[in-house]
Amino acid sequence: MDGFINKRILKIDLTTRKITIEEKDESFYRKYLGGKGIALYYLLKEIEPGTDPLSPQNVLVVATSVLTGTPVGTVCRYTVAAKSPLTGAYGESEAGGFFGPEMKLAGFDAIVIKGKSDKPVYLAIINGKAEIREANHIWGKVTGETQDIIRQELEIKNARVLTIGPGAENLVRYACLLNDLGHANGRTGMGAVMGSKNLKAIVVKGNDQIAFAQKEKVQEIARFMAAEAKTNPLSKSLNELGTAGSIPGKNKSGMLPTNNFREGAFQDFEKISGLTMMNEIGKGNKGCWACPIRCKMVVEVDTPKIQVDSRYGGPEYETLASFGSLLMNGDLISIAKANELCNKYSLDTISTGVTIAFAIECYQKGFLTSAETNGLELNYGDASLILKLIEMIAHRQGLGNLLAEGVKRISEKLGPETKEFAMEVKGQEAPMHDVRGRVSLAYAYAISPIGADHLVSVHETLVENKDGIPFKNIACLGILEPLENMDYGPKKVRQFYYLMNVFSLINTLCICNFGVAPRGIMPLEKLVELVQAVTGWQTSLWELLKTGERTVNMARAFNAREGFNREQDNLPARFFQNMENGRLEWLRLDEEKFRQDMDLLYEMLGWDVSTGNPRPAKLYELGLDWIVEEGL
Amino acid sequence: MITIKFASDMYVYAPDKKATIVLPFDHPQPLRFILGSVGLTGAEIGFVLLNNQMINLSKDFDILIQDNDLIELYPFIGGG
Repeated sequence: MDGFINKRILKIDLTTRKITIEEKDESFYRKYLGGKGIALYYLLKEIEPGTDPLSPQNVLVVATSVLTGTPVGTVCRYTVAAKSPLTGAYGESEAGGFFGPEMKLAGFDAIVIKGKSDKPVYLAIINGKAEIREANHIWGKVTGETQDIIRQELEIKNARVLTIGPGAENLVRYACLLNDLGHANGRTGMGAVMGSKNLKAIVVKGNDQIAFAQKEKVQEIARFMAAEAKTNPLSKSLNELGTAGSIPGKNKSGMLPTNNFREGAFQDFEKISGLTMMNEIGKGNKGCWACPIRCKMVVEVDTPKIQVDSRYGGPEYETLASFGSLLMNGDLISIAKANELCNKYSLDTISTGVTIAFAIECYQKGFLTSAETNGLELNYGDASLILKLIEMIAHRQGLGNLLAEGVKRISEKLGPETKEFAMEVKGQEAPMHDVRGRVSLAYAYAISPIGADHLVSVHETLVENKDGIPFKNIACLGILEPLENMDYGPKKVRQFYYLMNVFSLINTLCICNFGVAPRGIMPLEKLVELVQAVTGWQTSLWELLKTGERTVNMARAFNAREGFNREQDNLPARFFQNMENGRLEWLRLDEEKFRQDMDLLYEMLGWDVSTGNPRPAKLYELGLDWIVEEGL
Repeated sequence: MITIKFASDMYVYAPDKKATIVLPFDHPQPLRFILGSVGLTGAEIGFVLLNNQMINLSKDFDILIQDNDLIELYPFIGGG
């Protein structure tokens, strides 16, 4: 390519097998930047409201950003987006690895896929040429085998393969996609959308090179990131244990989801900690494109009783908690196996764990009977049960067929009494962060367009220390006063709002959360320098943050036309009840204060307080005139 | 004596990467000073427990450490 982008969007209609290329000018990229910005542009334009997410009319977008492919650590991600079969709302999930940069070097900034193939196919994109290939021979195979066969038949050893497994083929509503077997676009069921289109995989290989506006400046920032990764406290320890290192701290602070979120401390937490994992079954670590942090821990087990294949990586924090503490399971090897199975079958580990936890509580309370489980006894702490249920979910066998629908639909089937402990928002299962210790996280779970999500804005525990690096790095936004975790009110809402735009920007640029402030090592001012150096634009933090805000509003507009409003910005009832153990025992969210703050948040955002949706003036302010004028 | 426990991956900051170190007690000194004596500025730490009580570093970084105190250091927490 002769610049930092291809200016080419690949469009595939799987029904007609027509392949077209849409060219976009630079102003399109400056306005939407990439990732969910590009994805939402196409979803809003090309999906009719009310479309069944598993129908051919749904549109699946894979998008990189203006920075993807830059040889700077953490700038390597890509987005997969569509209308979600789990929530019926906007669906999106990002992943790292090598697929994003390779796709861009293969000649396309984004891929827009609609229709449905009449038989299984995969898409091969090699050096600017796209081809739809038959996939009958790999349909039904797990991700690892799929990747091996495709690489072999294309005779490209290091082709990057984004694939689904049997879970997605069987339309498990929280099925995901995997690239390089260990990097998951985990959330919102994007794998099921791909499965519904009979699309088994997307393979990319490219030899192109990116031309940067200021090559030396880009190299200088790359060197900065490499040096910081080794010394900066925000990344230094990630190299040792990855996110798995969070388990003891979460437990000690009383926020390790345990016993289906009834409790915040797990007595066997040391058995599932990152340190224990790496000492007992660790096999080194892996990283993503150009990233020096290398936070992906790899595990291997090879015993006569159980084997865990290291090609599938290792469990990260979310997985250790969702198959560990949440299910009262202290058997580390079973968690490693659960992670491997989910990666083989392409199931989201968070949703799978939370769904199993919900089923166990339903069984214990008599909402699920042994007749419905075919005699299977559902108990917490039963490692073999977890592995069995994952198999059943992936293949929709027996009880697995019900569990494949996700917590919200199961709850609707089993009765309104189960809603109280159904740990989901908008249909998406809650991640492994309890909001009872973090008010900002409560706002995040509620307002997130994709349902419960922990990466919407800052967790205030990160920025409560005025001498800490994260807090110092957000001073440029005008946030000058650290706030307590359980503070409510205008200051907390303002901090959340400003940082929601930052997190949205980071996602839109397809950067890892560990890359840019406040959680990451690159200060916001340097991010602006990087965008300038890559693109040549005389941009500013103001312009970039407006794009972060723009994509927040595009997602909200997408949901509004699907009938969503503030009624769905709700939290599971359990979060308004007392935590039952740990440091936060007796703590609960204050429901009245939470709802007052949500009112204030909508007002700050320029959204209608009664509906919670963007007012036309806000959309005009963000340059989204077309959403108002085209009635989208 | 004062005990400092480097929880989880905080051992990367410990002298000789030990999970726990014990310092002699002379007289009460601020937490800031104690941590400084093992090369920590406070910026490396996600949160601190002092005798199992959560410390707010913004307010209590100069709290006086007494004989037989246990200081536990935890890393920044990340998702993923």
